Amino acid sequence: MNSDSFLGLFAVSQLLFSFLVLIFREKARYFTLIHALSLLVFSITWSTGAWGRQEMHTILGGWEAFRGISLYFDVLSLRFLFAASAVFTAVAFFSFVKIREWRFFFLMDLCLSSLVCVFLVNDLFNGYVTLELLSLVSYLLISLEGRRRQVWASLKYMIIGAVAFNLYLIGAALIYHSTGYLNLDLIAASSGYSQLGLVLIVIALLVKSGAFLMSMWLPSAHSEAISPVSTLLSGILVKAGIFLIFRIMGKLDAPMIVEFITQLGLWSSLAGVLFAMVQQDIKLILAFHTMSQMGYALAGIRGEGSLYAMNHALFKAILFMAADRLYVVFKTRNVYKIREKEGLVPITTFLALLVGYLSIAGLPFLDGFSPKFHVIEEQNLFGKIILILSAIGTVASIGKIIIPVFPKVAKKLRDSWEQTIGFFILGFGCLSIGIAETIEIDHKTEAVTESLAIFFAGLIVLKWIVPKIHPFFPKRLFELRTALMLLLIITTCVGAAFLLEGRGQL
Amino acid sequence: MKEIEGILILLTILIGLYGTIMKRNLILKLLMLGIMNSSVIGFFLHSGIGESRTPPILSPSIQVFTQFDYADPLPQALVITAVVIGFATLALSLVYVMMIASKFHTVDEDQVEDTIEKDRLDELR
Repeated sequence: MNSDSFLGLFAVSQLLFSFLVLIFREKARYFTLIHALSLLVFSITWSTGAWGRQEMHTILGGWEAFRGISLYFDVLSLRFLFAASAVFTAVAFFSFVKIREWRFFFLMDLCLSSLVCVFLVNDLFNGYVTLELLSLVSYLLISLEGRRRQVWASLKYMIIGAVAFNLYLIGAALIYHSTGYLNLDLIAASSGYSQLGLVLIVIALLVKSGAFLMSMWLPSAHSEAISPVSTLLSGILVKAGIFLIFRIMGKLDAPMIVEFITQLGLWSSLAGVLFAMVQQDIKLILAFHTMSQMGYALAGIRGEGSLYAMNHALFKAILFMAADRLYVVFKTRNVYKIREKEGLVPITTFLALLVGYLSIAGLPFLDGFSPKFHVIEEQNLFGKIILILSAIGTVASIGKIIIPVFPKVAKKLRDSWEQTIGFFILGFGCLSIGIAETIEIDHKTEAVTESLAIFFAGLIVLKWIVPKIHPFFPKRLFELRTALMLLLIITTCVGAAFLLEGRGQL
Repeated sequence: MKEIEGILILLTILIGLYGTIMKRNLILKLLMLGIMNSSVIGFFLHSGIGESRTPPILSPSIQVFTQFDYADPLPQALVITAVVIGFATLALSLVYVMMIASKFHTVDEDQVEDTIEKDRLDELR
């Protein structure tokens, strides 16, 4: 079997497997676990070079490029696939005993399959279809328990997503009209394509990616969903949008749009962290951190952003899973109330929380260290200042979760076997990738000094500034109408700017 | 003529977008979202028409001179997927609106948001 037919079979088999889960409902959890584990093994063995390690490219059915479904697999796809399979395996273990409903595992498996299809995308329309499929599954996952806040969070996400996908379609129509193609390679090779079309597509993908001002659905969706779903959403589902942005901007040369994405990423990272510092709900703190960290990944679009996104998936998933355990122990999501509550935190949860915290803080030998340093180094002076400030804020705001937990750790208490395995998979991933990256990084002294300085500055902010902040949630900013108006305003401004820059050419 | 069509389609997209943003009633919001979906699909088709004079269907009774007399079939095939996805999303949204109507006893967006904020603050206390 050559690589061409392999890719086609790979994509189709993922979706067929999900429907197998539908048939064997009672054994759904086993199928989902096997699926996630097999993808994890595949991505690890591919990265070691056992399969030849070349890029794979195929067009389904042997059609010509301009009218066929084009699939493409390279290092970028591999990074995101590895992150997805690691997070899904951990979540599958974590929910193995806790969740009795087969529907959850079926939706999770369908989610994984559609994610794999997203990571193989090489043309604009396939991107639309696979991302819509993924989005539909995520809407169902968010409102799985049927509680009223979850239903509203899901509906809000759905309406904003629908508007964004309409913008995507308009952009795709403009590009098709200007070049006659939807295949990314053919568009890249053609003489000129509609800049406005590309801008609309990028804006639509930014709505899905968790950027500030575009993704105002994110805090409520990520915090209201049940914990395994929040882990999936923050851990990997926002990465689908990021992946498509990286894929499209990697193939098409558009420096002004890359600059726009970088700037939006910088401001996202700062805004997310500032909002996180004023929250009292653990899951809202983590959700705003997702916004901030996706800002980091977007700011790194010229270089290590995809590696940062991959590492973020691991430590964000471990943080969400640990936060769920804290809720089970203390029966509250309010970080300010944890001190007063009775309860003992198992040592495995605490270690997981610690690994997640030190990774997101960007300390050496953990997996946030090297990509964060590279993303900061790639920026100009202004960008460096913004990213360093948001890194300091990250340390301070996640510290709000871990500090009250310190005195309540029970060394003899452990989580159940499946939760420990879930923590172990992610924790091992964080540590091993972190150690490998730390060994390979250039400018070791500079990087280590920078990360330690940021960490201690963050601790100082946590000690002296955070206790003085009165928590509040700016409800109006994250309402549906505001979110849509912000999207419309930004689309109009950026679209007008690109139209003027192209001198009125669509 | 084609320019007027293009402008009308764009106007419909903007009307749909305006309604989606400004309507407080969730059912009307979804209705306007449906209008926006349909007009975006119309835009996709409009971009494929070009200078053609007939749909891309072979028929002995229609006289054509070149292949460019036919409208481009590719966008027409692609929007079928967009139509199906749009209808699935709208159907799911309507189910959610039904659930919201039964749980919140209102379909007014602002009242729903206010109730949710009260719920959230009560739970954190």
